[in-house]
Amino acid sequence: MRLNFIWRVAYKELLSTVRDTKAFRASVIMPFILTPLFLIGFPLLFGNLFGGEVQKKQVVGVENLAQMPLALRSLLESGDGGAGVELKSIEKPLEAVQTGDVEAALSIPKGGVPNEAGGRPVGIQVFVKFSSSKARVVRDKLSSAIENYSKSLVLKKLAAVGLSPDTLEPVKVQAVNAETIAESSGGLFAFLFPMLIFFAILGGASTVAVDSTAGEKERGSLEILLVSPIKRLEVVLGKLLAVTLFALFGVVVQVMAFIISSNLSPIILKQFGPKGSEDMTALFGGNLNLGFSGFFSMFLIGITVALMLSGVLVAIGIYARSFKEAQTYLVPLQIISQFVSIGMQFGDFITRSTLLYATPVIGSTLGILDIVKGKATPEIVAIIVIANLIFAVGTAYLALRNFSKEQVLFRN
Amino acid sequence: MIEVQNLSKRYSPKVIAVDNLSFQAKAGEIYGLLGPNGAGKTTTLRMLATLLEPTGGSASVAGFDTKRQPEEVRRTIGVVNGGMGLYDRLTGQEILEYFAGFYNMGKSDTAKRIKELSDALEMNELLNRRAGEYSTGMKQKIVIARAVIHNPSVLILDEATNGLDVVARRAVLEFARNYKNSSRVVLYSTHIMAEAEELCERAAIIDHGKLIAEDSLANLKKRTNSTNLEEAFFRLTRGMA
Repeated sequence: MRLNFIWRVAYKELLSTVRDTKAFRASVIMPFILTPLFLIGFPLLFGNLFGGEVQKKQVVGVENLAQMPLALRSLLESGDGGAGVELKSIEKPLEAVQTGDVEAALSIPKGGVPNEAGGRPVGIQVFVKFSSSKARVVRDKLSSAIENYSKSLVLKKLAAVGLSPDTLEPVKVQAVNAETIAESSGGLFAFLFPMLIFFAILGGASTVAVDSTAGEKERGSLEILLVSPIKRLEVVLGKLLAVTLFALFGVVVQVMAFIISSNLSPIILKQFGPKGSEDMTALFGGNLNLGFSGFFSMFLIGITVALMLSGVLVAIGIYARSFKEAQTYLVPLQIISQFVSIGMQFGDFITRSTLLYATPVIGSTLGILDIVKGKATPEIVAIIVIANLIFAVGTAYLALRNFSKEQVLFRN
Repeated sequence: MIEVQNLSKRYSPKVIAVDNLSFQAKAGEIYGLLGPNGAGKTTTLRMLATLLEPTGGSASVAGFDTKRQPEEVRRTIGVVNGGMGLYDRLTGQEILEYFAGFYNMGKSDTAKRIKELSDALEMNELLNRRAGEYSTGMKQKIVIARAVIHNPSVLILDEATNGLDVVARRAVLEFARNYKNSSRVVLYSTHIMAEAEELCERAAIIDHGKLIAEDSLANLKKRTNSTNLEEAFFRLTRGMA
């Protein structure tokens, strides 16, 4: 095995890839666009969306508006501590919501609503479209105002008979959040971290892998390379080296994009106030203070995933007869990695074990999620890294095997 | 220089691409390997170039056995095929230097050889341009230069004029004619009889993987009472001679 031959092959592939300026620029720029877009843009968008909806004065239709007690009406219409909606008299609440005339509707019973507690309970129907996120905001506002009115009647009644408000709640439930700061930061959208890392590896490295294998085959230059005095092992290792270096470059760029985005997010999300910013980032996993060890662990896992996937990419690339065929074969690989990232986000019920962490792609995804949620230990990271390295040897062997098969190299 | 003895390649029990093929090509000649499309020419050349392993028989190139000494064989051959595969984002100079490196040619030897080839093939203005910008004829020049960068004693041309215009085609034929000398052999594989008639002294005609005839072109025409090689080829492959 001649190292200078291996490097010669790898250097040619790298040079060729870097000179494909459009693809190269995209692989550098995309992480710096996608990462802040997901980690900052989403919280910003949702924050503005929900915040705006809460502030908005929605039009709410009311059947039998005249029967509504003034105190309840005041609670519903008041913007200061009330629901802050505009009430409009209508006759058919269900129809009005379905046709979109009003965003929500209330049906006040013909017999009216009590203005003191102690009688038979009376129901007020709230009509909204349950699947609409906007409608849920109105429903919550209306429900809250009606509950407050109901509570005020009860409190008044309790005061009249000389009882304190605590009479209603002799025992209170107090839920205490046991999450660490990192765990609460790695919220609903923490899956974006492993997903973007896989995306960076596959996005960047697959271009080199496909071009240097199926592309060379299609152009006819692979056959010419193989008739020169270079061993097939040296060709495979050279191509693997190029693909791996590019995949590593993808990991470095992606981790840098994470670091920049996670440092920028608190500044940008400040507009929601300290609490709002905290809630927002907790929900979306946007402000992740992973620190050096967190990012370093993520980088280690990323490197070994890159090594492992490079072998797969080269093996698939050389099996394909053309550039397009190779790209078709790679689509399921990308879909699998994205699905695993999303699936593992909701995988708290899965029993963690050494075997699970050692499983390709799944283990790495769990590991990155654990890092984000502050659960990862050095042992977990070590298991993932060692398993990935073992699989990397396996996938490199697979690539070499495909390179050694005449029916793979010369099939038409 | 090239000795092929009962060479066979069986892809599956039903598919035999080359069946007991034998021929010899000597130094100082341009030897034709002729046959219709699908006759087994490319499979034969791939076995000679050590890309495919024969399932039977043997072959030696420049004294090296293709099975036992594949790397030595590859060191002595240069191959031009009809694919004209180049790396579009590399310049002609970079492509030639890339391949020269696999023959352990030093920097000065490489530069000297590139200069020689550049003069011979009139490709000086191509060397610093990327291959993606080349016309078909320009590409063919770099493809030929790449094949002979290490001055091989055996040059194999496989349907090398495919897709070329008349000027580029003529350049390839001229190059092949000029390349042979007392210590070199050119193996010219084609289905275009006019090219073979112009270049080759002797030829093997194969069809369905089998050797139909092997002789000098004059004798092949004489045996079949033909006025030209194409007629002789037709008669031989149709069993009319």
